[in-house]
Amino acid sequence: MTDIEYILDFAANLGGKMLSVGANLERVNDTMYRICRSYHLNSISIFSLNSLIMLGAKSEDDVSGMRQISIHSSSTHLEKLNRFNQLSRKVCAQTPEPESLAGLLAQAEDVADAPAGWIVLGHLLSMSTLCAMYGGSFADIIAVMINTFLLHCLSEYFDRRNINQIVANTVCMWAAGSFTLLFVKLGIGENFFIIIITNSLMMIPSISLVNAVRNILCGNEMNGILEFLKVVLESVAIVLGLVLSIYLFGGQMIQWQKV
Amino acid sequence: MAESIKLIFLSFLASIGFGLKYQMQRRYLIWAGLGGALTRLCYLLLVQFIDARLVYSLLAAMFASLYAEIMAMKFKMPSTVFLYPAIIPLTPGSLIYNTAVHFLLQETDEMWVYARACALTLLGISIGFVLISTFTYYRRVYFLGKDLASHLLHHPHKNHK
Repeated sequence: MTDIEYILDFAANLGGKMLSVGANLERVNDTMYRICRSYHLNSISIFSLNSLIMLGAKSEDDVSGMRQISIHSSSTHLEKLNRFNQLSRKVCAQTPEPESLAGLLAQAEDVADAPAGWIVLGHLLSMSTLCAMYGGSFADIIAVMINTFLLHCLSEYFDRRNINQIVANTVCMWAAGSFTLLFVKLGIGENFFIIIITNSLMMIPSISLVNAVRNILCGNEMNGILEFLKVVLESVAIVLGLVLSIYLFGGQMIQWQKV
Repeated sequence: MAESIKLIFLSFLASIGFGLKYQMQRRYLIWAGLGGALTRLCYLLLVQFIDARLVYSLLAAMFASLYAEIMAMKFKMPSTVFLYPAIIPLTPGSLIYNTAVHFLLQETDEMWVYARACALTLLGISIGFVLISTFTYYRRVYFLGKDLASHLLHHPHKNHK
């Protein structure tokens, strides 16, 4: 492999990994551009979406290269994002030998995931406090915590099997809605809609939606529009799952309310 | 007043929860929580004085984004690490949910009310982010030169094939 191939491989793979752990597109494009510039590449051309990166450039001795990689989204991992960011700074400042770049990337990626217990604790803490913010009672908070644990397990299961997010959201909210109806009947929760709205916040990709609008404003319209549509479909799937649970188990007893 | 303090404290805990969920390093969790609490405080103050949803969402998002940029400079980390937990109090999750509910129930009028509120909030948050990131971009350009990568090229560069 020539140097330009090592550099483009590294830049595209680093960009892809940053996107998959939660970086926004503008930041990733900037990182890839800086890496290419620090190695004196020119005619740099970048086209990226949240699911695809195409990167092309030319070296000082007129050798052209191009890389295209697809990206598989995973859950947000801020510590990995921090490591990748540090690596990009280091590479730009020190321009290590191109052959060593792949090894550096593998090292940066070698971050242990937080223990599952911590992630579950994070879910429980965030959802129970959101429930309290919406005015939920202690019984509602307990119901939200049980549902949150259930949703976490289901989401993990679907993630591992690469199930489409729209299908996963529908099934998850169907399960959450059905359990909430049961909890309310058993007296574990009191306000069906406070419980269900809190749990839906765990599934609604609010940050993706903010990033989508930001993409549109920053000139990445294609990615912004695609992400926006994806969020809309996923949100409709969440409500669809809930409607299914009510029609199957709740009949007309539950009145639609706003919160 | 008591209700506001309760909301600020709950935002602090919620942001810590999201920090844990997003696998943030534990020593920065307190800063994530502080970001959420301060953003909520800013939001509550702005809502008192400003009626336009777009404007108070924009200003609160600018505050959250500025906080994240300052923390990023302090700890030499990407601002995203502090931004995601800090904007949790601003994200319009319940508005999105209500819009989808009324869409499915074919209650068009109510749907548009929520959709409009949701769109204004999102637009405000996004413009706030863009304004602050543009500001920090030009701040870097001012200190480092027009080409953002140019300062890196002053380092002795090895001759690559």
